[in-house]
Amino acid sequence: MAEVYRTGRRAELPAWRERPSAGTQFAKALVIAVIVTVMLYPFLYVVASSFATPAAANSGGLLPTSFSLDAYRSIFAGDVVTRALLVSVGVTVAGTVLSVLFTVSTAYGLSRTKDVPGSKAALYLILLTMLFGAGIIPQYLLIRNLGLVDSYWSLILPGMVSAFNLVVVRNFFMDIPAELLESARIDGAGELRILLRIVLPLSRAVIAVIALFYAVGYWNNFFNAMLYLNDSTKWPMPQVLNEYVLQGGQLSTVTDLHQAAPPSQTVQMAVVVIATVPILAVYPFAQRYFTKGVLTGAIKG
Amino acid sequence: MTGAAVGAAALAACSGKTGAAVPHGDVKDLKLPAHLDPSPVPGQVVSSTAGVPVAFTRYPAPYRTVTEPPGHGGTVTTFQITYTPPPPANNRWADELDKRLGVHIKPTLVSAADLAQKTATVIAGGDIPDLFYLNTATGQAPAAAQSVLQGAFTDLTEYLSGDAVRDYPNLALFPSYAWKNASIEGRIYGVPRPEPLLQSGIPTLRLDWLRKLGMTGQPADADEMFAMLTGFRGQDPDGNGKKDTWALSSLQIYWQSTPILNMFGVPNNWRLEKDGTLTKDIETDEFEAATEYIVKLWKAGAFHPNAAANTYDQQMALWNAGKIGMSGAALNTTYIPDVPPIPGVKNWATDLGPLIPPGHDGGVASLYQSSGIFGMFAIPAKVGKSAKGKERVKELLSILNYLGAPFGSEENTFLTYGVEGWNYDLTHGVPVKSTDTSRRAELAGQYFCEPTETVLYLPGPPTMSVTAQKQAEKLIPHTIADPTVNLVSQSSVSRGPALQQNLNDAFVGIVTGRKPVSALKQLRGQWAGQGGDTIRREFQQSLAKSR
Repeated sequence: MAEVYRTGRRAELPAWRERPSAGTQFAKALVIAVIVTVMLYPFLYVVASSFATPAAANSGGLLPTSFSLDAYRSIFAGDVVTRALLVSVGVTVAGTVLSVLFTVSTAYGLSRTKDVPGSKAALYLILLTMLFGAGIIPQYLLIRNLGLVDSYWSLILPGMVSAFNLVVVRNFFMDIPAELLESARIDGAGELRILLRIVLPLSRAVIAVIALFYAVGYWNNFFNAMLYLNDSTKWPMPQVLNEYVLQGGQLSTVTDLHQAAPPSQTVQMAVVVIATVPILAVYPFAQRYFTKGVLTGAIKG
Repeated sequence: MTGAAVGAAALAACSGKTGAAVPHGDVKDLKLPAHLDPSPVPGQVVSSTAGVPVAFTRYPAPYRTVTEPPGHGGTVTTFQITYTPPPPANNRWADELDKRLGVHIKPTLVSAADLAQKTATVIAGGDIPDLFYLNTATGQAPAAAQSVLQGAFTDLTEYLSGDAVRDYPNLALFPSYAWKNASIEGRIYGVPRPEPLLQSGIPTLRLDWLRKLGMTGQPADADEMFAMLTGFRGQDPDGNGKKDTWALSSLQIYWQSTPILNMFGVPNNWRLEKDGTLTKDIETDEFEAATEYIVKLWKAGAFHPNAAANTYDQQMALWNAGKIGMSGAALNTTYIPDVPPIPGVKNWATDLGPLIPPGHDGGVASLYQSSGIFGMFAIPAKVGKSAKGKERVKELLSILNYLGAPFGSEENTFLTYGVEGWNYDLTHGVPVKSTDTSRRAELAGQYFCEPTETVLYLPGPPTMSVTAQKQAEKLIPHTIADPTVNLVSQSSVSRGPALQQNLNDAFVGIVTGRKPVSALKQLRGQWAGQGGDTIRREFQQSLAKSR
């Protein structure tokens, strides 16, 4: 399918597909424009509010139009957000590298069920974790008994290998023609060389995709930080974002107003922007692998 | 037990002359900690009526209540709730706190939204911090009550009951109702964070709008209340020529509906009948009458069109934009200086005031008493076991004694506002917080057992607090307590929130016309069958144990 789209020019449309009429094209454009607006408007509103003066942000207009950098200035004046960003970047980079490393090597081993004794059993064991979660408290006890409370490792280790990603990569590897691997073996390549020189170059798409999945997962993971990090100076961005934005959102959590007033809306929105933009910036680079990577792994198998 | 019992009312609180003698069931076999009267301070007005808060006509000149650091070195770990962004690593306030307490405080700060989960995991993990914030109220971390009964925390009764509390003079100033409502099955497990008894159900009203409608005073019965609430919609009280104002911004079973429930005499969550059985509020005729009234209000357009879905932030945005006549959040002492200017409100002292709900027939309304506490600080069981452990418990209680210093004291001013010249400045003798975000954030770990909320102090005309105190004197005798406030029901913990959500959804459905008022009968049966009757039975058993 992907091949068809890539090479298919309009002139080469199949005979049964006529050029849509102007009316249909207009209707399509309109529908797409509406969808895009619905998607983009909230994001635009967040960005605009973060750059607005507090008065303009509360005025209730369609988009605040004033411009002020005060919200960003007040955030970066303290070290909290800067430090949280550093923690998040560190955890995301280190976590993604480790995750990809372990997922790929495990998946490769499990893709060769005939050569690796016991690999079927290991595969089922891993699949089992997709069906049953351990629950919050047992997980906490595990992390605590490993001595990882208040350690950055508690943000990485619990979700380091995702069973779903592992299956996707394994299925991708299974599709690589066995003849290819066999010829490499005849040429004298060992398993490591086969993995590095033959399998990985052929799997760039799927690896880019799972790397992105992992990176987004690490970047957004607030729950592990909430449970395992007691020291607030170690909190990553999502946990800090939670403190900035969630307070006062839910009626049921508002029980006491003698607390300080929540940060102004402009500051909240600025924190949202700071938390969203870095990971958003990664997307365009991985986008082109997306369809191919996930679908190939998922459909064939 | 309104899920959203919010804010301290201007005319709220109780650390009055006696502090005790508020209408409440007695706790069996528990000698409550002795209650001492506050020492005289210039500007302090103590009411002679029981349960009425102390008022201050000015911010007291700071005075010391603790002469030497209560701690003996080392580290004290804490588990605390927080409502603000995390503190910076370089924290002058925290350094000063360590110096004053004589120990290093190592806090675990938990955002209010995560309290239930974090409480459960930390207790299950077994490493319970030395000072543990325990809030067993609905919507907080109610499941923790069970771990208290299972012995996870030190029984503090022998350290605090009766005259023993005199070793901790600041804690002896706490109102007795706070100790009573913090007790669990007749024992004291923690030092409460005291709150006023009267706080929800007294919303802030736009008095300037009331005058625009030509009303000379507060509504005197259900009809006048109706005229006021619909007038806020129909009579253009902000005078901009547009019909863009509403009386109410939220439609929930409690919250802004509370004054109306009060007006019709609906019980406070549960009613304890003479035969010792409990009746849930929705099971009463009074609730049905109140619902019919609210349906009429909805039809007349008194509610904001998005009232059923508005979040707290959205409600406050509407209120701050001058679109709403009645804020669910009560007029609140320390919140006021942070309230942005509301269009049309020229002088908040005369243009804003509490709504005092009348009785529906022109008599008096029955106002809800809150639990009077917002959580407590408990000490893990393993601390109190040895002889040496007893000394540690006493040290920790001395630290809580410091943290519980009364309003206006030097200690309380430090805990509330921080370091003078850094976190706040004194302007005309009134502390004004720094506008610097980072310096404000230093105080993220300030939430302990300080009793700041139980007094009346309104920075403004000196007479304001006393006026509010006089109003409280009139209202306190008409308050009713929730009889289940310190009782334990396991089913209420596990099924209560879902049942309450169902009730709320059904209530909203009835008011907005999706269902007739007669659906209430069916709703009561559903509620009872899905767990309401079990909760009732468990509360009645717990009641028999503790009273």
